[in-house]
Order: sequence, then C-alpha cells, then structure tokens
Amino acid sequence: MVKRRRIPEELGIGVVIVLVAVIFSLMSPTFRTFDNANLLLLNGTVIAFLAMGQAFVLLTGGIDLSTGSNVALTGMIAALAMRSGLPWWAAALAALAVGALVGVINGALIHYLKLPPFIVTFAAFGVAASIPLILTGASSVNVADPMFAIIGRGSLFGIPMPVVLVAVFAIVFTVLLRLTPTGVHIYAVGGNAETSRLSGIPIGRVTMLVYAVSGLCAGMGGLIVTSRLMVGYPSAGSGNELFYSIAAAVVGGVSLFGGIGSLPGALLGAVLIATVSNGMNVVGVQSYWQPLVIGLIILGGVILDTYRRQSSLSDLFRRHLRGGPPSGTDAAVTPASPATPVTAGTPDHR
Amino acid sequence: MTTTSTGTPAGLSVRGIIKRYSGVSVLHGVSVDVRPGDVVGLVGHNGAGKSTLLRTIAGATTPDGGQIVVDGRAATIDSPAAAIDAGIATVYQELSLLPNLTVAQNVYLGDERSRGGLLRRDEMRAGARKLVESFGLDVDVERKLGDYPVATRQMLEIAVATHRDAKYLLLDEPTTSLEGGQVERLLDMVRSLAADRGLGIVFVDHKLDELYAVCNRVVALVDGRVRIDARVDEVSRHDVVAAIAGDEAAEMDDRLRAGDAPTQATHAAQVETDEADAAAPVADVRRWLPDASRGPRLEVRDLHAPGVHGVSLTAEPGRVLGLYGLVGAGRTEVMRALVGLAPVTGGSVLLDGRPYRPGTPARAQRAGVVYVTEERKSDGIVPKLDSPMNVALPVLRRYRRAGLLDKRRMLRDADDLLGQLRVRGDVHGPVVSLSGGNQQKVLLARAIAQRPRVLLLDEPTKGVDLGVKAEIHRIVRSLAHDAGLTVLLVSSEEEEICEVADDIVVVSHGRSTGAQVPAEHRTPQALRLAAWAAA
Repeated sequence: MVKRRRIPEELGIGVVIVLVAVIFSLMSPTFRTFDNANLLLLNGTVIAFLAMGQAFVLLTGGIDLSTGSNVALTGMIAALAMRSGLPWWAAALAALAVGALVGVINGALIHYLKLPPFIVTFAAFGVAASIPLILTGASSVNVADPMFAIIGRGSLFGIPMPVVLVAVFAIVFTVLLRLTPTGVHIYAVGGNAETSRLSGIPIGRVTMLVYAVSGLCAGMGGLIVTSRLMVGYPSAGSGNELFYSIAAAVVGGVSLFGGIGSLPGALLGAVLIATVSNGMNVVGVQSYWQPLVIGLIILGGVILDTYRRQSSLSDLFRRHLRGGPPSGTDAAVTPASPATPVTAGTPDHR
Repeated sequence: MTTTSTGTPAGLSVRGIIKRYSGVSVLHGVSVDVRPGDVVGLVGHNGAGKSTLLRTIAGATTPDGGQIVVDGRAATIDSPAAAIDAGIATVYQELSLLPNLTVAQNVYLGDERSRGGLLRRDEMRAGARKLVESFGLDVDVERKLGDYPVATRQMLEIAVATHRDAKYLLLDEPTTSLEGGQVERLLDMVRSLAADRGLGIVFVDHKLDELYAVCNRVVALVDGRVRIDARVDEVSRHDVVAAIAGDEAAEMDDRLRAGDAPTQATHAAQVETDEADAAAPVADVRRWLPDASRGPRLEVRDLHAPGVHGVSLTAEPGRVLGLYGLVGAGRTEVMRALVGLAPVTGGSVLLDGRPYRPGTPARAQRAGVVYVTEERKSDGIVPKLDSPMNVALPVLRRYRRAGLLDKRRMLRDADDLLGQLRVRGDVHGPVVSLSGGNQQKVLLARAIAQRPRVLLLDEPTKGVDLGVKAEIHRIVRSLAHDAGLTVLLVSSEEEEICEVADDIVVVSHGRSTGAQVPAEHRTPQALRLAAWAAA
C-alpha cells in the first residue's frame, strides 16, 4: 500500500492567516514592520494561552467558560501574594496553582457529580470573577517587585517573553497530546466517553487534567496581564478573552463536539484572531468592530469545517447515539460501490 | 497465543448472579459455565437479561449477588478494567471503537505502550499490524478507524477485544450490522478463536441459524433465569424457540425452516395462534384510517434517484410489497425518493395512474405517503418526549383549538392508538425508556396517526425481539389486508419478507432485478440467491 503523506489539517487556517496578513500589509505599511509583528504576537499571547487550555477541554467534548474570569482571579492572586511579601516567583507559582485548582474543581464537579460542563464552568465563571472584587473591594493592586515584570515585559533574543512562554508551553502540550498515553486518552474521551471507560481509561483523571490545564493556561494569562501592567486589575480578562479563546480553538479546527483537533491548530486560530484585531487597529477601524468581525470569522470557520469533514449535525448525533459509524446504513453507501459481499478492506472515501 | 493450562479447573464460571434495577430483578440467580474452546450461545427475548448478564461479566455493571470465578479463582470484577485484567474481553452490540482515533490507537486504547512517559508508536504500530494480519484484515493501522466500512470495523472490534491476552470473549449480537458473506466470515473468525486459540466465547444472538452454526452449547434465558443450558446436539432448535417464545412460535419457526412458503392459510393460522389478548386489533386500527382508506395503486417505473438506478415496482392496495436486497442495494434510497427526502431524477411514479412527484416530505404526507424510518434512534423517535407526544408530533395541527393545543383530546387519541398496538411499558415516560420493539410500535402508531394511504416501512423489526416482531408483522399485514393500505416493506431478512409480504421485488445495485413475483413463489433461500447472484 502506497503511503500518502496527508495534508495537515492546519494548512487551511495557515493559508487564511497569510491572506489576512497580506491584505493588511497592503493596506498599511505599519502593519508589515517587525515591531508590529512582535506587538501582534505579544497581544495575542493571552488568547493563545486560553485557546490552548480551551483546546484541551474541547477535545474531551467539554467547554470551559471560566477561563476569562480565571485570568482576573490568578492575576490578582499574584499581585496580592507579592503585596503580602512573597517573592515574585513564589507569587507566580501560587497564581498558577490557584488557576489549576479552579480547573481541578471544575473537572471534579463535572466528573463525579455528572454535571454538564457548560453549567459547572458557567458557575465557576461567576465565582472566579467575584473573588478578586471581594478580596480587593474592586480596587486595583500595584505590583512593586520589578522582577515580576520579566514575565510580561522581558524578552529573550529579542522575542517578547510571553511569546517565548507560549512557544514553550505549546511544545510541552503538543508532546503531551501527541506522544503520550494521556494524549490519546484525551482524544478517546472526546470520541466516546463510554468506550473509553470500558477500555479502562481513567476518565475522571483525564477530565480533571484537561480542566486543570485550562486553569493553568488561564493562570499564565493572568500572570502576563498583571506583569505587563504591573497592576492587578480585578476586572482583567472580563472582556472578549473567553469569546476569543473558544473562537481561536474552533477556527483552528478543534471540534466543539470533542475528539477532533490539534494544539497547533488552536494556536494558529489564536494567531489569526490576533492578526485580525491588530490589523484592524493598525488600519484604524474602531475597536468595537472587532468582535463582530471575529464572530463572522468563527461562523465562516465552522461552516468550512463542517463541509470539509462532511460531518453534519445529524451525523454527529447518529455517532453519539449509536456509537457507530456516521453512516453505516443504506443511505450512505455510495451507489457505485454497494456493500461488497466480502468485507471491503479498503477505506471509505474520505 | 494459545492459552489456559490444563489440569486446573480452567473456565469462566458465573454463579448465581442477581441483578436488580431500581428494585426490579432482572437476573434471578443466573449460573453459566464457559470452558476454554467453548462457544456458548446465549439467547432470550429482549429484556430477558442477556445484555445485563453480559455487562455484569464484563464489569460494566456490578451485580447485587453471586460471584464470578475465573479459572478456579473467585474474581472481583467491579470495573471494565478488572474484567480485562481477568482475561475477559467484551464486544458490545454497538460499535465501540473510536472513529476519531487510528486503528493502532484503538488497538492499544487504555493499554498504551510507553517508555519514559512517551508513547512507543513504532511498537504499537507493529503490534497492531500483526494483529490485523492475523485476522486476515487488509487494514492500514495508521488510518483513522472512521475511514473503514462497518463490516471491517465489526471485525476490528473483535480483533481488538481479543488482543489483550483475552481468554474469554463476550460477543453481544456481533452480526446485527453484517450480512451474508460478512456474517460467514465473522462466524469463521469466532470458530477459529475458540478452536485454534482456545478462547471461551459467549455469543449472544437472536438468529438461531447463526447460533447453531457456531456454538457448541446454548443457554436460553427467560425472565432472568436460565431455562435451557445444553449442548447443541442435545437440544433442538424447536425446544429453544419454544422456551423463549412459546410453542406456537416454535411451530411457526419449524414451518418456515421446512421451506413452507407462507400462504394466506399460515397467515391466518398465525394470527389465531398469537397471544390470547390479541383480540382482533384490526378493526380498531381501521378506525384511525380515513373512511375511504383503500390505498392507491403505486406504480414506479424506472425510478432514478441518488443511489437508485432504475427501479420498477407496482404496489397494489391491500397488499404488502416486500422490497428485498442487501444492505446498500438502494432499498432505503427508493423509500427516501418516494417520500420526498431525496430528489427523483428520472423515471415515473404514478399513484392510481396520476403522476406523483413528492418533492418534499410534507407534500408526500399530503398525498398520503408515509415513511417509517429504519434509523429509529437517530431520525425516528424524539427520545425525551413521551410516547403520545411522539405519536402526535406530525398531526399536532389536528388538535388545535383557538390556536392552542387541545392536549386532552390529543392524549386520548394517542393513548388509544398506543393501546391498540399494545405498546408495553411506561408510555408516559420518555419514549427512549421503552424497549426497542415498543419504540418501533410507537413509530408505527405515529405513521397510522397520519392516516396514510401508502405506508413505506423500512426494516420495521430491526433490533426487535421475537415476540414483538410477530406482533408487528401482524399489524403490518392487517394494515394492508384489512384496512386496504398500500404497504411497501423493506427488509434484509429473507424470512421476514417471505412471511409478511404478498409480492416481492429484489433490488440490487440500485436496480430492481427480475420481475415482481408473488411471495409464495419465493423461499428465503431463493431470495438470498437472487440478491447474491445479482451482486
């Protein structure tokens, strides 16, 4: 059998990014400068982190609505920890721990109490948004330790530190997803949780892990936001972050129904969204147009994705209900190749 | 991969298993022994407890009493993983491998090989390749499972299940989605697993032909108890059917197997021999149909549609026309075209001599053409709604009063109809909680509620137990013979077609082959031959 090198799923979005970048470059000389590219990526880092976390959760068929407010919570935890005298690195670790803890709690509630992820993380969204307000009486907290600025303002070989951090985490996460048993388990749970359970996969651990990763990513987002401003704002992350993180993952080809997608895809989705918002800024479009444009991009991405995969909603339901093939019946067998008497060994059309 | 040592009491022994679901006993102390090399056929009505027993042995549910002894040692099987560790592998009725993962990933699911936390992908690929080759499957292990057709996936399910040093294999209706040659291949596979690898196999199946072809022992469960447990050469097929479905069913089965073409006489005899409370539901069902309920003559000439390349048939009012063919032959596509779910691209369709072009399901409904889908779960029932609501769904408009829904009248009518069809179970709970057979009756009730003149039935007894199957057959026949509807019945079961239909058309590769013939001129064997000869 001749092995064909399959086109990576992420190619499509890559092409879109290039197209968008070319259009903005033509429209504005500012857009195509190195500094702007750096700024674009820098501004995209929080979304990128959230999108990576969201991708993990979406791959298991869940959703995490708490990431945005978790950014505020973790950012504020870091600021408060430093104000209370902890060194900057310990404060950062504490913030990450809190972020991951929020995820673990989400995952535990979802798995052990069998609650829908949408509801659990929606509740967590509210709780996590309130805690920093309650702790600070809705006022901001200044960060005094200059070393803390290294996270958001530092750079390595001319590359902004947040971008470096995204790259490091992306590599680790990609290895986790592609090269470890846990990664396979995440895809398996998203493909069919019951099968996974029957195969002896620890679903509870997988569920808690993905939400913990999402929480951890939100923690990284919180650190970057607080560090760039050197102020902990209790309302950080309450804007479009959540919306953009889901958008990035979905546009990057991560299925909302679980089991399909990749981390590089989600990252490219984040880059696309960063490119669009940066480009619109540079070109001088008022900022409140951005969610509208990004909303349309999501819609376009999902439509393309649905047609590309030929997996309509009814197929998805069928798959979920029967645990079977999307089309094992008369209706789907192509007329040219009626079920051959002897098991056809060749794959279906793709 | 030969297994089991001799000497020790090797075998899987299930002893006195009790299982209750919310207070209702499903298994009342079931004991079964499976020795290495055994193929034990497990039969019983839906609801007799076969699946529950299987799930208990597989660790998917915990029993309320009894124990499982594996090779002389009491095993604590409290999770699927524990069962796998004990050497018990299970293939469930629904395909359960993951279509979004590669074949190799599926083979090692939950049992991934890794070193230093990283997957050893080469080792797994090689192992998976060896596995599929040992089963004679031509499969690229690096492709996603979803790329392969159902039959291949069914084989892969079994291959994968046996992979983890399984000594015992539980198969829950593994042939439901297969047919003809594929079934043969699967049965060969099962035989060789038992004979060559010494696996002890439990084989759950409704089809006695297959059971008798592959099993050396048969266990019949009735109401959660073992009624028969004997070697296949010690217990006749008649006894098995009699045990699970009653003596009349056994006689009917005998007649069918003797090759008796079902004639009007046997139809009548069967209606009489059905359960006592069957008291003439016919007239009552008629009450639901329009006064001039006699269906039109449906003539289809050289029909072309997606997947249909020239089908001709004539369905007469008051008769059941059986549309037989292999899965994928285009039977469902014919139905879909006739009911407006797929475009008609050529040929002509006449209703009582007048041209009929459905176009949309709504228009088909107005013409009195009603379709009952094969895919009960995905496009038949609305799972969370109760049965009356499911029945009334397409005819809600009829129950409008001052713009609001006259729920009382609707419920009364729907309940009445459900009662006529003798739907059992909690009809006021979600319809999904009913057994498959009763769900199918709800769908039939829905079709009848629409006051059809032409009824298109697509595999109306798929996944339905023997008792309900006979009832559905009787209802279908009476809808045609007594109410005068024009009925088109699709089935891939030759016996069903021969028993229920008055005339038969065979479809193959999207074409009708040969002439339409009266059913009494066709035996199941001849039908199978016709379908395969053309294939």
